Amino acid sequence: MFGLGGAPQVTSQQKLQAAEAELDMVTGMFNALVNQCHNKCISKQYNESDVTKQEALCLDRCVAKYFETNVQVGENMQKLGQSGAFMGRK
Amino acid sequence: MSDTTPTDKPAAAATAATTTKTKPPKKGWSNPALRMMGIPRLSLPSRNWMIFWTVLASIGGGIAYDKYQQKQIRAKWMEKVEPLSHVTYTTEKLPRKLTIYIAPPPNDFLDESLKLFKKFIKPVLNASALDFEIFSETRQGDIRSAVAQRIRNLRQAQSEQPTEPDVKPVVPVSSGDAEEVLVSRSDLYKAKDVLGLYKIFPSEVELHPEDSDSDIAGGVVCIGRGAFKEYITGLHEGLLGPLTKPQFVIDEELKAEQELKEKAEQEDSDDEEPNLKPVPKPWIKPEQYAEASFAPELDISRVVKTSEGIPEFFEQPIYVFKVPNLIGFTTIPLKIYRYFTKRWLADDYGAKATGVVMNKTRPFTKDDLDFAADEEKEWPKKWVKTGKERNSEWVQDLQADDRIISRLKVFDVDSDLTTSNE
Repeated sequence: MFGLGGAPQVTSQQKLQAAEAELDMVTGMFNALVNQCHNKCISKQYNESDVTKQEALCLDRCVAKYFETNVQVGENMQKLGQSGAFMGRK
Repeated sequence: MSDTTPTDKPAAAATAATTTKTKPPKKGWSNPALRMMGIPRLSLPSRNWMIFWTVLASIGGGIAYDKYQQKQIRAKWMEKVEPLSHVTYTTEKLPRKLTIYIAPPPNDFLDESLKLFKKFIKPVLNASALDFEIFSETRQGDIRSAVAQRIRNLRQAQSEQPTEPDVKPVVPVSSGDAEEVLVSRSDLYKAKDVLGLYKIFPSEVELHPEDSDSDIAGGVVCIGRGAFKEYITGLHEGLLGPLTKPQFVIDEELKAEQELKEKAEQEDSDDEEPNLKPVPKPWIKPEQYAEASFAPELDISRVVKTSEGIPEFFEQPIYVFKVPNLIGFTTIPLKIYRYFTKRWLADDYGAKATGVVMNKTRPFTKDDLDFAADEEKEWPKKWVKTGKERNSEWVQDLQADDRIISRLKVFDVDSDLTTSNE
């Protein structure tokens, strides 16, 4: 009974930690994305309250590019990690 | 020793004095005021230096002037279309999208065409906030097979799904004599429609592409005569050709594969395997166009559209940009001339790109098959000869079928320019 009670508690905490880490990662990425695309696309004069067509198109492309790059980098890192060649480890 | 030195010295001094005296004063221009300030006589450099500096300055000036003008011209055309991009835009709208096919000039790299696109066309498209998608090829036939495959996939999908229009649940009107049909409540409305929960559960954003508003939308731009030829043959192959690979293509491909193998065995080279598949052969020949049936899977009585209401790419208007590219030793003088007058090309490209942006169209005629045809005169003769030997589609006459031509449209660039100048 003691063994049964102890084991799931640890895993649930681990799960929580993992979930927290994931949430951190996602929010971090989202914030970075918003920052980058805002800097790149939105004109800083704020002449108009609405987004212009140019800015809208730029934002579309920026977000798409960001996600694509993110996926690519992630895949490559995973490959590196699996092959064990990362950071000079061979 | 001691006797000779005093007599030698004055003599040497005297000769030095005479030489300085006999040397004529430097030609040039001076002024007492300048002389007082210690500025020596102003004079022209020697003849050789003059030639050197003139040549250098004229060449450098020519290049710099041309580059400067190119920038000005690009800015001029960008400015012309810029008002289009300053429209306020809600998030659910999608801008017009062009499909761009880029082929390398004969015997050269894709870079040459890409450079022209990047320098003179892309800035205009970007300034007008148009979206575009680029398809490029590095081998002949890639664009043709990609276009054909895209149409074939569409036809395949169309033939698989039943063509009947989706029937929406209609609220039954209760009338006395007709038997009442029961419709489940969840078909009529959802809970969130009634309870005012739209703020908490926002409905999906419905994207509204601008292209879906009319039958003439989007656009296809081919950079280079070759790209245009391949695009047109690809259209024919996709729309008129069979959906499954015909036997003669399979035979041909098998034969080609065998030849390749034999060649590899003969040469006995242990090169790395070719990582690119060979370009697929066309599934229909120009002679067969007349007998072929026009895409029976598609409803061609009206403009074929995607599920979002955008006309399919083969229904969109076309424009072709000529890629002037010279190759060979004897063309070098002309090449130099074109290098120094590139601003004219920039102006031409800018005007045409603006015309594409303005989206005025006219129907495609038979003459339009010769779009950018004068580019072919500049194609290297040797290359054309080997192309004819290998049965390349670039060097053959462009064959077209009336059924397809009658559906096509062309961007009417010239009329647009005349109206904008008024």
